[in-house]
Amino acid sequence: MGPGPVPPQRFSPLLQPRLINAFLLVFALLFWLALLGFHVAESMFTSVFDESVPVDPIWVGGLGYRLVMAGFFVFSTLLVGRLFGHIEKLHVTTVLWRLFITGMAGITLIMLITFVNRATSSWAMHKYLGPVFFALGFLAFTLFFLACVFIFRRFILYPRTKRKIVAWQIFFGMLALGVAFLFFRDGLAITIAYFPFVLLTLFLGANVRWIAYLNFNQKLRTMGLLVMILLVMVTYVIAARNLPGQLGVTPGQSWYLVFLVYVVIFSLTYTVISILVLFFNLPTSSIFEAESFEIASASKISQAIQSNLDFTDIMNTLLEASILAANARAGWVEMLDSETGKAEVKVGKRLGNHEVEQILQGQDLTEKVLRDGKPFLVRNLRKHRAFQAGDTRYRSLVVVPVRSNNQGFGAVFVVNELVNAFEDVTLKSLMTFAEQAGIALENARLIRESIEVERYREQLKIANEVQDQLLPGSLPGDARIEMAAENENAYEVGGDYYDVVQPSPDTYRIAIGDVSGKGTTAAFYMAEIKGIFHALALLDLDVPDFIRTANQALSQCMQKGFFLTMTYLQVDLAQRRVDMIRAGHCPTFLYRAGSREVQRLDDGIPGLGIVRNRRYDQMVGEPVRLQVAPDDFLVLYTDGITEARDQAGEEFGYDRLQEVIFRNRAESAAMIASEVVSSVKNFAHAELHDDYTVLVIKFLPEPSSQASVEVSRS
Amino acid sequence: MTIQEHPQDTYITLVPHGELDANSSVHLDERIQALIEQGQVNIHIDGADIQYISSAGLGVFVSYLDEVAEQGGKFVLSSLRESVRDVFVILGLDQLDNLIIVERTEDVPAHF
Repeated sequence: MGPGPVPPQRFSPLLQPRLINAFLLVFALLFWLALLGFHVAESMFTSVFDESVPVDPIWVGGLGYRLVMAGFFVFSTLLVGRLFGHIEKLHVTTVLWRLFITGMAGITLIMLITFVNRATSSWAMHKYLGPVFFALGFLAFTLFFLACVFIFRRFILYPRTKRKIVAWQIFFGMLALGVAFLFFRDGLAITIAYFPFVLLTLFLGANVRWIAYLNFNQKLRTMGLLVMILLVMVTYVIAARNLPGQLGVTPGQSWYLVFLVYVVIFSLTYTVISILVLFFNLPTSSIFEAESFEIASASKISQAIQSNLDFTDIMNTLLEASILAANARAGWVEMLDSETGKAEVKVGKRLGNHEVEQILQGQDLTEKVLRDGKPFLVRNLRKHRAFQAGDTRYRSLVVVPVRSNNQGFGAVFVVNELVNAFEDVTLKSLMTFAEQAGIALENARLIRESIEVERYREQLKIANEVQDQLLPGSLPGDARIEMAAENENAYEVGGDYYDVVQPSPDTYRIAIGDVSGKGTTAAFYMAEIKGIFHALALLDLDVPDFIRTANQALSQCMQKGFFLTMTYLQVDLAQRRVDMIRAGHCPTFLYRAGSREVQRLDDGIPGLGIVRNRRYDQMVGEPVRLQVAPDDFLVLYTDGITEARDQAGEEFGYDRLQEVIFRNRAESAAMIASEVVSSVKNFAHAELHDDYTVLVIKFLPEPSSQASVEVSRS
Repeated sequence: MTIQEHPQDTYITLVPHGELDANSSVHLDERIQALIEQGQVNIHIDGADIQYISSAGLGVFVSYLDEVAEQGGKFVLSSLRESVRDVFVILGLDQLDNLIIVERTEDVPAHF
């Protein structure tokens, strides 16, 4: 009966094992019945009172009898092996209880037989029923001890090792030898064979690892059961003392019994060893129990790490484990509030906030243990200077910090009514738990943060899409005017704004602006600015009135500390005139084709939203009025251009910008804009860290004069 | 960025050292806010050691202009280097009643 895997089942997997069991049962029974037959025949054909043993026995003891005996041994071993050899989950006390019950049933049977045997005086009864009773007792004896062997085998193979499995194969080999001895009646060989068998039994008997996994109560119960099983075994052996005679074995012919003796020796030895080991392990069990509890709790907390994002769950697990491990009466967990940084009671067990208050009396022990980085132990609250004023029934207190490498989270508190209730060993396990919980909390925090960041990023993406729609997709223009813009945001959401409206064929109103102020929320004012621009640009306000009205509107809706720099201009193509006001914005550059020079237009007033009263209206004076000629152009931009810095920290500045503009004076508006951006990028040697916008407005020659230019060129 | 503080008879002098960009201007912001909360609204900034100012740095002054004015105070900036002064001028902050830019530190007391 090897421990190997169940062979592949081609038929119904449920039916086949049962079929095998039934087959084995039938054969075992048949051999047993045959055995019984031999005894009945012996009883019938020989005189019970004839003490002489035949030289060559025909019935009991004969070759046929021994063959049947061998068959019985083999099939009952296989049967019991199948019934008791495959206990999936080892539940020691349940299994032993069943074994005990099985043994007791057999004993009851034997006692009943003995009683009936003694009570009857009838000769015929003895003659015919005697063999039956004997055979039943023999059956019970054999099956019980075989059951012991297979159950103990399961114990010994806990846990399985290759060496133990090999030892068991040898063991079953020895049992087979025991059966073989039925036919080789060599007393010396039998005696010699006992030595390796006993050694093997002792080797197997030393494997009692299963005991270590029992707690104190289980050990006591297991010990009791094993003692009772031992008594059952002894009863069997005593009851079987007449067995050799009944089996027709004379002293010196004990080979019949070698198989049974092996089985009995093994079972008795293992039972006695187990009882002794259990007995001597009882005092240490509480330590082991605590340790295994600790391991179990630590793994429970570890699981919480992997699966749990909920701070409260982690804290509850920690508190529960700590109270159990410390054998404490009650406890609570304090956590630092993420905003105030103050310790607050988050979960409590078997005590309320009022009691916590009575114990601590306002002392912040969480802060203390987090600072010290080690637990704080009070052996007697009554005798401790800092706590003795408190009216509490608790005497012992332990506080253990809960922290990760980066951060302190809080502390776990456990209390007991007994003085000096917490040992150093306990502190160690509490620290292990707290450490695990710290990791769990850290993980939970990181996961939360990354979710938050992801959500934030998602929102910025949406804002970015909205903002892209706030800027004009394409700029208007005709044969007389050409406009082009380059714009990029360094972050998802920028604060630059530009826009153009064309209220009449000859009129363009153009704005470029930049929201400044504290924080990135500045960018979110863009939508409002667009609304204001479009509303006001469609009214027939002149440039100063536009600026005044825009300042009033923005002063109403922009938070304090925010302001908008803006250059606003109105182009009148019919008169080739530009009116412009620079409100705090970067100075506009104007290229004059006639004089081939670039001018910086510095005149201006404070930005919008800086002066939020009527005083501003007075500051807004007349606009800068420009008369423009063909090939003149204006370059408007935001400070992302001029404030772009190179690796040495130097700004791009106005001079470089002016130079780029001059160099590209003959180019189209689009080309000028893109040349400005690429020279800024070259200068900065990297991505720009600020938003930037460039808007170029170029006045084109009239079709007729363009033709004349071409003529004059050719 | 470090900021020194020198109380005078009728005003207080702040001397910021280094660059006033989006990050470092936070310190100046906190300092000015603290002063205003204490009721000290006459604030002189000695700008001799401000190497650079960005628009975020300007935002600090802009955000307290109204508050200071409401309590009858003002900012006086002195000794600004040219590049820094230009930034103020471009935003038009030199045109305000409650933010005054003077050349020399000796001229400061006359404005409080």
